[in-house]
Order: sequence, then structure tokens, then C-alpha cells
Amino acid sequence: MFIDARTLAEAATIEADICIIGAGAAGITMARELAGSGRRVAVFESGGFDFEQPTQQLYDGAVTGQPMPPLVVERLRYLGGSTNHWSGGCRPFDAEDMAVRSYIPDSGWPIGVADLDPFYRRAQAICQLGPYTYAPRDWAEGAAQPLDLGADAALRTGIFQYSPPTRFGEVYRADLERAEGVGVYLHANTVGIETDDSAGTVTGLRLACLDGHRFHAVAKAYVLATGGIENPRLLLNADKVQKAGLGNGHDLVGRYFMDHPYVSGAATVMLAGAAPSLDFYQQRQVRGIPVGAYFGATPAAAQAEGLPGFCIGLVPQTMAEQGTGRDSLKTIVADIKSGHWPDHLAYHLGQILNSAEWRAETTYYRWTHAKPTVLSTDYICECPPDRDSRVTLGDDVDALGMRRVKVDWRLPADFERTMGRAHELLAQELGRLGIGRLRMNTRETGHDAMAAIANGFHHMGTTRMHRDPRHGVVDADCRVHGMANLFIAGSSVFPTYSFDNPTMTIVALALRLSDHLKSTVLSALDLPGGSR
Amino acid sequence: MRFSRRLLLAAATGLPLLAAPGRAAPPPEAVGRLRRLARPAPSARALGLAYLARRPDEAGPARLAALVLAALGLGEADLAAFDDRSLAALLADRIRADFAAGRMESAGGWMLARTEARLLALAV
Ligand SMILES: Cc1cc2nc3c(=O)[nH]c(=O)nc-3n(C[C@H](O)[C@H](O)[C@H](O)COP(=O)(O)OP(=O)(O)OC[C@H]3O[C@@H](n4cnc5c(N)ncnc54)[C@H](O)[C@@H]3O)c2cc1C
Repeated sequence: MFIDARTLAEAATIEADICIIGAGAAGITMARELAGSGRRVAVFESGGFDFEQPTQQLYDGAVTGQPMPPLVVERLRYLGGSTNHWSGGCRPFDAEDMAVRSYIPDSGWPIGVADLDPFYRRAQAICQLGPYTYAPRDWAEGAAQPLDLGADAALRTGIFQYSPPTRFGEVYRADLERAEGVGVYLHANTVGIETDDSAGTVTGLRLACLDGHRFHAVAKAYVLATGGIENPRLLLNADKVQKAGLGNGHDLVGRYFMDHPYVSGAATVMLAGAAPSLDFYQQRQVRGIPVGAYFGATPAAAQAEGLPGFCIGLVPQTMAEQGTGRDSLKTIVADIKSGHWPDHLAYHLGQILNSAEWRAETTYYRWTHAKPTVLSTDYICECPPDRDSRVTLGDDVDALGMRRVKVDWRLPADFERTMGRAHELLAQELGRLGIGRLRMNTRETGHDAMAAIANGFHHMGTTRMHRDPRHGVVDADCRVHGMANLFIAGSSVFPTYSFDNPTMTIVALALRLSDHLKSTVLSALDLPGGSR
Repeated sequence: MRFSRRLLLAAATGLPLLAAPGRAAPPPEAVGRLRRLARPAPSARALGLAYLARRPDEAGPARLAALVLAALGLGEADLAAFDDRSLAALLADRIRADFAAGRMESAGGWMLARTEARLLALAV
């Protein structure tokens, strides 16, 4: 059932077994999962069914580190959250993504892929993806075959699947409407988390609407599901009892903030004429399912090279219609067609890449009537955990009196080196297999990819999971260390995250947390001495 | 066409052959042939120059040709046994072997096989 919180009586108190704050991918997944469980679930969502500017403004804040778009456009604050504009790229973590890696300080989860696997299977359906397989061979079709890179290769092929993309607020709205025992309160902003005197138990929430309504909620268990920046914001703002903020006894809340750096056009790849097809690596539909393939490091190569998780995708490139670049390209095309090798390729590379026009908007197809011979790379990587990359509170407050955030995102000092090394490994494979040559787009070559670093809008790490409260904000069950009944859902709990898009894992963790609440937590809290 | 035992071995194993130390500089014909195979063009020169800027110690056609031949394991006498087509095939194999072994050089941002970079430098 949906309830417009603006229609509640002033200073009303909502009672429930579980309060979920935020109705994005995580909150909606949990609400659906807990429906019909015999428990009363109250979901408090800041927005309504649609975008509203005054509500969206509550997301504003400052970006002080590595540039990223304004925080007010990084996320969406209404039912469905940022899934109202996500792109739908999904893949589950590989085992090594969650493992402790000696060459990545502070890496490793207290749980593994085996713990998530049953939930990933269900997340796959919730995100409206295809069959639960990410094995490249299962997505081969016709000429689109993964390259046979060989057992010794440093790189391997991997698969992303693409969700339609599921707009959680739209797709699951009817479910929420009729979900047994679930009340979804819209325009209901959580503005305070109240605790007992030891800050060990949450005793209630303070909520506010932008029209001035204020009310309360009390429950046995509380789940923060407001996204990777707002989760720490709510904890840090809750500073009445614990001055540094809730769950922040070890100064970890907001630290280790990370996003995925995304470099489009990091390198240019020129293909040889007789090269094996790279169709597999283009975005395609296989049996109606959109998929994409990428090159990533094998675990052995990543370890040997000390490389963070990365993936390199290939994108057909457009070329200039005018100038020397075009002439050289024509020559290459003619040479490739006549089957010359080895040097016809390297031969004109200098010319093309010195030509400033190569980025212009005329498609290569137009003059070759052939498959593209020039590709560019998209590079996405993991940033190793960094304590100093962080979300803190500024002095400004929003319309509801909550302090706004400052986001200081930091890239690792060796980012350019590791990106270059990842591309060297790709260049090595392409050369070894006779597929083509690769050029890094650097300051020296006049197309500085480093100037075009974007972020993935994947906000992670700010309430990281660790067994030990000195190293993590939540435990392996997503419970805030030192707190009996406060849980966190979302990518803020990721301690490491490879290059994988987060939402599928967010949904899997939300399912797991729902199971945990149903099977263990609520029955324990029902006992005398439980939270209420 | 005649193949030396060393070359047959190299072809079968895919292993690079190393030049015997102290080999004399190749005669001008060898330089010319490799240059022809490198198909000198203005565009190739740009990369060749970029390579030489990084490796000035390899400058000079004779030196470059010697290095290429040494990498192929060819001596002067061996070279005469190859027509251009088979020499090109041998170079192609060596280029792939360079990549496989990580013997790569950056020229103008391109990640090239070392042998390939030297051929381009020969075209300067
Ligand atoms: C442009 C873009 C593209 C993306 N592409 C991908 C992709 O391809 N693959 C992928 O995996 N991920 C992608 N993402 C990220 C994806 O959208 C998020 O991972 C996902 O939405 C996070 O889910 P969540 O439930 O944790 O948070 P959100 O979806 O952000 O939901 C949080 C909810 O909490 C509510 N809320 C916030 N504060 C309060 C408060 N104080 N009180 C009450 N409610 C509150 C918000 O209104 C919102 O509805 C993309 C994001 C963007 C912006």
C-alpha cells in the first residue's frame, strides 16, 4: 500500500517490525521480499512517484576531489531511486573480486561468491536479465565467438548482461501496492535516527515532509537503503549520542568512498584484414538478451602484475572524412583487402593517429562498406580502497535541516600506469594473435584519455563490510557493528568491488539481508530484552 | 628455397633465434631488402622516428638491419636463401613471437613488436 506521508496526522507515530529507509533497488527488493512474512514493514521514501525538483535538491552537495557531475544529478530521489536512470549493465562478482588480494591493501569481503550465488540467481530475475550464465561460450552465436586466448594468456573474456533496464519504481509499483503487510510512505524523508543512550540500539526515526509535516516511526529493526552517499550522510548526521556519527566509533563511516573510473577512448585499436572476428566483443542481442563482452585480467595475471580489477570493451570508431587521416585509412583498407602483412598495418598508423580529424563524425562504414577496422577501447576499473577518498559533512544544510555532504573522490596515484599496463596486455594479445595494433591515447599522442575520466555513478565503500569493527562499519550480515538493530543495504557496504556494476550485487545482498531478518533477527528481537 | 636448420627449428618451436655475438653488419643489399619490405612511406617514418627518439642507440640502417636479422637468427648467407615472400612470412612470425614474449616498444603511442618498430625505423 502507498501512503502519502503529507496526509498523516502531525506528529503521528508509525509502528512496524521493520523500517526500510529508501525505496530504490535495495529498498524495493527488501519490501517485496518481506511482504507476506507476517511482519509489518514500513518503507519511507523521500520522493513520490515522479521526479520533483524540490525533493531532488535535497541531494545537492559539494564535489571536492576528482571531478564528477554535481551530486544532484548523480542520483535520483523518488520511488525507484537511481534505477530511474541506470543503464542496466550487470554481472555478478567473480570469486577473486571478493577475496583478500595481497596486492590490494584492505581488500576482501568476509563472505564469498558462494554465499551470494543463490541470491544472485534471484537477483538475475529481479533485474529482468537472461539466463544466469556469464560463461562466454554460452553467449557465442554464429560468427560472434570469443577469441581463443589460450591458457597462458594474461587476459580472458567476460560477459555483461543488460537489464531492460528495470525501473524498479515502475516495474514493481503494483507489487508494492498490494504487498501484504507493507506500507510505502512517499514524500517521507528520514531526517534523524534516534538511539538509546549507548548508541547501541535504534529507538526510532524522525521523518519530515517538505511541506512541513513531521512524524515518527518505531520498529524492531531498521534498514538504511538510501544509496552509497546518503547512507553515510544519515549516519554522520545522527550525532546526538555518538558525536562522530552512528556506527562511527572507528572513524570509518564515509571513508573508502569509491566509484568506477570510466575512460572512454583510452586507446585506439586498428584491426588487420584477416583478423578473427571481434563481433563477440560488440554489444549484441543473443536470443533476445542484450549482452556485451570485454577483456579482463586472469586472476594469475592480475596477481603477477598487481593490477586492480579492470575491463576493456571495444567500440567501433568513427573516422574523419577529410585529411591525411582519411587517406591513410583508405590505404590501409586497400592493403588489408589485398591481404598484405606484416607491415602494411603499422605502416600508416602514424599518419592516421597524427591526423586530428580522426574523431570526426563520418562513419567508417560509409567509405569501406565493411566492418569497422578501427575500434576504440572503453576502460573501467576498480580503485583499490583508499581511506582518504571520502564522504564527509559540510556546513550547509538542506531544506529539512540535514547537513549536506562533501564528496572527495580520489583516484589511485598509479591509475594511469595501471590503465596503460592493462592496455599493454591487450596490445600483446592482439599482436600475438595477429588481430591488430593498439595505440594509447595520451597527452603525447594528442588525444589525452586522462582528461576524459568519467565516473560510473556507482557510489560504494562508505560503510564497508568487515568482520572486525576496526576495519568495517557493518558485519557480514550487514548489521552496523556495535548496534543491535541497524542494518545497511546497498553498495556502501562493498569493501572491494572490482569493475562490476553494483546493482545486481546490491539486489542479491538485499535478498540475503531480508532472509536474515526474517529467519534470525526479528525472532531474536521479539524475545524479552529485544529492541522494543 | 633453402631453409637452414636453425630456421626450421625456429619455425617449429616459434622460439626467437638469437644472433651469434660479433656478427658483422649486413651488406647494403640486405638493408635495402628489409627497407623494401618495410615499404617506406611518410606515415611509417613518423613511427620510425618516434622509435628512434626513444632508442637513439639503434640509429642507422646498418645497425637496425643487423638487429632485425639477428632477431630472425639469419646470417648473410641465410638471407640469400629467402625470397621476399618467405622473408616477409618470417618477419610476421617474429613479430607475433615478439608480442607473445612481451617484446614491445611504444612509438607514437602505438604498442608495436620490437622487430616491427625496427622495420619502421629502417624506413626513416
Ligand atoms: C546514469 C546512471 C547509470 C547507471 N548505470 C548502472 C548500470 O549500468 N549498472 C549498475 O549496476 N548500476 C548502474 N547505476 C547505479 C544504480 O542506479 C545504483 O547502483 C542503484 O540505483 C542503487 O540502488 P540503491 O537502492 O542502493 O540506491 P538508490 O537507487 O539511489 O535508491 C535510494 C532511495 O533512497 C531514497 N532516499 C534517499 N535519502 C532518503 C531519506 N533521507 N529518506 C528517505 N528516502 C531517502 C531515494 O529517494 C531513493 O529512492 C547507474 C546510475 C546512474 C545514475
